[in-house]
Amino acid sequence: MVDPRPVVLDVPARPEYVRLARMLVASVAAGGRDLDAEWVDDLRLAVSEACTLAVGASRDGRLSVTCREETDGLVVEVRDATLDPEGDGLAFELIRALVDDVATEVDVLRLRMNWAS
Amino acid sequence: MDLRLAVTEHDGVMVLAAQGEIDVSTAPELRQELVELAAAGSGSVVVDLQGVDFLDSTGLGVLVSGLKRFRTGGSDLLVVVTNPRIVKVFEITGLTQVFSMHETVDDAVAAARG
Repeated sequence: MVDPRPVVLDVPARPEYVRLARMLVASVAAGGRDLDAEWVDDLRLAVSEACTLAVGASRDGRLSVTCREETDGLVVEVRDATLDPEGDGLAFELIRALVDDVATEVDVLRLRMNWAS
Repeated sequence: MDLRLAVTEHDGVMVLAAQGEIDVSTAPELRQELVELAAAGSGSVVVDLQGVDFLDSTGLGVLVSGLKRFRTGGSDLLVVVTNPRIVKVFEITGLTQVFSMHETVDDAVAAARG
């Protein structure tokens, strides 16, 4: 069952909260589904990368993560996590390899992982 | 939040065993330990990641800078990895080609001793 209500995490932009963010997103994804362990690991790592970028670039001192279930997948938006392929080499490579789609908007990095990928 | 580090000596080679998660919060502890080991000048180091269940690019960055530090000093930094999810992180980033990677501490120690 898809619950369309977003789950939002808004905490200080400090390194110790990145672990909380990836645990939260993994919990939302798991909600009642039988997910492949590797799928969840990929999600945790991609979210960790995005949140690490945000902690380093946050403009208001907050780490803000929004997680939303959709029919065909999970969408995670991390504010202030802009991805610079030149400057964030390893993070960029990992995120691109792990998620089905990544989009950078003005102040948000949006990751999508399809349920059955 | 939760990273435990322990240094032991195996046949004259320093082995740094890590347990837990290596991310932006805990990677500084690993960096500090590697800097101290390099400064001690006791030759190559084996970083045992068998007890690590999460590693992201921050941790990889610390390992890469440690590798450069040791190789500049004429020694090496070798890694022991068995967990498939950690191996995958090295593979995606192409770092399997950069590090001397091993499946047991004994193998890594033997390689370090040349």
